[in-house]
Amino acid sequence: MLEIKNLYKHFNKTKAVDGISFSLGKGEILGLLGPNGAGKSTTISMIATLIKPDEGNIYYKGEDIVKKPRSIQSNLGFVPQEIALYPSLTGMDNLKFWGKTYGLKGKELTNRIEEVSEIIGISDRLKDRVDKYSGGMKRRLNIGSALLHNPELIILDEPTVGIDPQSRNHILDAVKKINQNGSTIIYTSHYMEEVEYLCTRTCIMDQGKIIASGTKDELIESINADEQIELIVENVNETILSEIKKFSFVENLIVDGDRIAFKRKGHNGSYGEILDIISGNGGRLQSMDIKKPDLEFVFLYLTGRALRD
Amino acid sequence: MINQLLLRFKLLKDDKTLIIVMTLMALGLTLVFSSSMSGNYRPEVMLVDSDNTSESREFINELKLSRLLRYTETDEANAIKNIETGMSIGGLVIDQGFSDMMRNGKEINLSILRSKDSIELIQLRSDVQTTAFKFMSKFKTADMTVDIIKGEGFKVVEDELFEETYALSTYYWRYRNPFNLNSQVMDAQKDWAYNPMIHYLIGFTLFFSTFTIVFVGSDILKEKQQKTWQRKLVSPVSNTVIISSLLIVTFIVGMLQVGIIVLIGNYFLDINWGMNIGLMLIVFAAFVYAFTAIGLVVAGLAKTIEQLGAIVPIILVSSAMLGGTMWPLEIIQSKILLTLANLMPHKWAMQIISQTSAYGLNVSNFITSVLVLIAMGTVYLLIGLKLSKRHVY
Repeated sequence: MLEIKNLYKHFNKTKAVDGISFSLGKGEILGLLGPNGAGKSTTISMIATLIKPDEGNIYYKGEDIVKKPRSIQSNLGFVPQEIALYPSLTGMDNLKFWGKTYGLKGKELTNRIEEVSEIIGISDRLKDRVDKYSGGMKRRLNIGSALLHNPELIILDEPTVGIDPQSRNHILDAVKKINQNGSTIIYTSHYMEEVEYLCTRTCIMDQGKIIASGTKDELIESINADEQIELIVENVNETILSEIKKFSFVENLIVDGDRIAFKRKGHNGSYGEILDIISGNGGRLQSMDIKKPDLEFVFLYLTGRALRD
Repeated sequence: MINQLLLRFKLLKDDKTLIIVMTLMALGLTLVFSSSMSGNYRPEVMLVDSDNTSESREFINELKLSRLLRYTETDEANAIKNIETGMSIGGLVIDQGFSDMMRNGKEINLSILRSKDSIELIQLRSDVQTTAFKFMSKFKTADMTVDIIKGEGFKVVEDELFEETYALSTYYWRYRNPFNLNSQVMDAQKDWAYNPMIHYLIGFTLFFSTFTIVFVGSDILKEKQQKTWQRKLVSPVSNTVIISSLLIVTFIVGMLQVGIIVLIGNYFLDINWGMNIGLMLIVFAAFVYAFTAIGLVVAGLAKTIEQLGAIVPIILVSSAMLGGTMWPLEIIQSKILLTLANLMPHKWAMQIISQTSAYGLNVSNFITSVLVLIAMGTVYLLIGLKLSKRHVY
C-alpha cells in the first residue's frame, strides 16, 4: 500500500531524515519508535504531503505522492501531535467541519459523526466548546476528526502525549478498533509500551535513520538478547546450585545469599525443571522474576541511550 | 469553499471585540474631527491691500465670503508680526497695480506671506485661486457686457452698467450656477477648495480599517500555531481555497467596517465626504482588497503571532504616514518619500477621494486609481500566496 524509498530531508544544516526506506501493507499497524528529534514527525509529514522530501520517493498504491499529492490526500486521516482543532467551536462543529472538508455531507456526515464519537467516547460532550474539554477528550476528538471519512491510511503522531492513563488506554483501544475495521495505521511514539501493544511491525528511528525494523520478536532476536532470571530461594544449598548449573540454557550463574540469578541462553529447556530441582532438594521458592528484553532494551542496545533521554 | 467560508464566519466571533473596537474608534475619531473641524474653525489669514482700489475692495469682499478661512485686513508689518508669532497661518498681499492689471487683462500677481509650509497654506492657495478665478470671471463678464452694449451704439453710463452687470453676475454665480450644465468643477454649491477635514476623515477611516484587515495574518498564524492550517493542507481542499476563504471573509469584514463608518457619517453625523457614496465605496473596496493582500504578505513574513503583533503597528503606521493619510502628500518635498508613497494603497485611495472632493469627479483619474489599487492588491496577493507556504512545519 505504501512504499518509502531513500527519503531525505534537511532543515538548514540539520539532517532530519537521512535516507530511510520502508513499506507498509494493508491492514498493518506500523510503529515508528524513537526519541524526540529522531525524525518520526518529519517522516510522517512527508507521507502526509505536508512537506516535500529533498530526495526520495513515496508511493501510495503505486502513485508517487511527492509528485501527485492528491492521490493520497482523500484516503488519508492525519492526526497531528498537537490538538489541531478550533477551540472556540463545539466538538460537533469541529467534526462537521473536518467531515465536510473530506467531502462528507447530509445523512452520511451525521451517521459518521455518531459512529466516530462513539468510538472515541465523546458522544455526550459534542455540544460543548472544545476549550472546555479535558486534555484527554481533546486528544480523542483530535483523533476522531481524522476518522470521519473512513480513511484507508491513518497517521497518528504521538497521539497520547500529555494525557492521563485512562484516556491513554481509551485511545489505544480506539486505535486497535479502527485497525480491526480495516484501516492501515502508522503510529509514532516514544512510548515503547504503546508500540509493543499496538504495532504489528516497528521501525526504530534515531537521528533521522531507521536503525532496526521488524516485528517485536524479530527486533529482539536481531540483537541476540537473553532473558535474565532471578530466583529468591529459601535454604539454598550446593546440590541445588550444581543441578541448576547442569542445564545447558543456564549461563553466568550468580549466587548472593538466597538470590540466584542467571542468563538464559537459547530456547531449549523449561523453568519447570529448575523449580522441581529446588523443591526436590530441600529448597523453597519465594519468587521468580523473568526479565525479557523489550524494545526499550533493543533501543538501548542499538544506540547506547534510553528512549526518553 | 462554502465549508471553509462558514468556518471563517463562525470564527469571526473570536475577533468580534477587535472588529467592534476598531470600527468604533474610527467612527469616534471621525465624529470628533467632523464636529471640531466642520464647526467654527476657520484659520485666520492676514490680508494686506496695497492697491486700495474699488477692484481690490471687491476682491477682498469676495475673499471674506470664504467658508474655510477667515481673512482679516491689516497692514504689512502687523501681518508679518502675526504670521511670525503663529497667530495667523499666513497672509495675502494684494500688490499695487492689481486694478490696472485686471482692467488691462494682464496676469495678476498676488503674494502669499508664510513662515512655514502647512496644510492650511495649501488651503489658502486653493481658496485664493478659486476666489480670483470667480472674481475675474465676473469682472470680465461685466467688462465684456459694457463693451458689447457700447459697440451696439447704445448710450450708457459705463460705470453704472459695469456695476449692475457685476452685481447681476455675482447673483447668478451665487444662486444660479452659471456653469452647472457644463462642468461639475464649476459647481458653486460646493466648497471645491482643498478641505483638510475631508482628508482627515478619509485618512482615519482608511487607517483604522487597516488594523482589522491586516489581522487576516493573525488568523493564518493562529491556525498555523494550532496546526489546523497544516491539517487542512493535507486534506483534499486546495491551498488556494483555504486562503481565498480567509481573504473573502476579511474583505467582507473590512468593507462592512468602512461601509458602516461612511454610511453612519453620511446619514447620521451629517459628514460631507465630498464624493458620491457609491463611488467612494468602490475606491474603499479596491483599497480593502489591496490591504487584505498586504495582510497575507505580513502573515508570510512573521513566524508567530507575537512577531506579527510587533511588526503590524510599525507597518500600518509607517504605511499610513507614507501614504498620506495623516497629512497631504503635497507638503512632502522628499522624492524618496514620494516614490515610496506610490507603493502604499492609502495614497491612491486618498488621492482620488481628495481630488474628487476638491475638483469634482474625473472619470479617468478615478478608474486609474481603482485599477492601481487592484493591481497593487494582486501583486501583494501573489507574493502573499507564495509566502503563505512557509512555516507550515
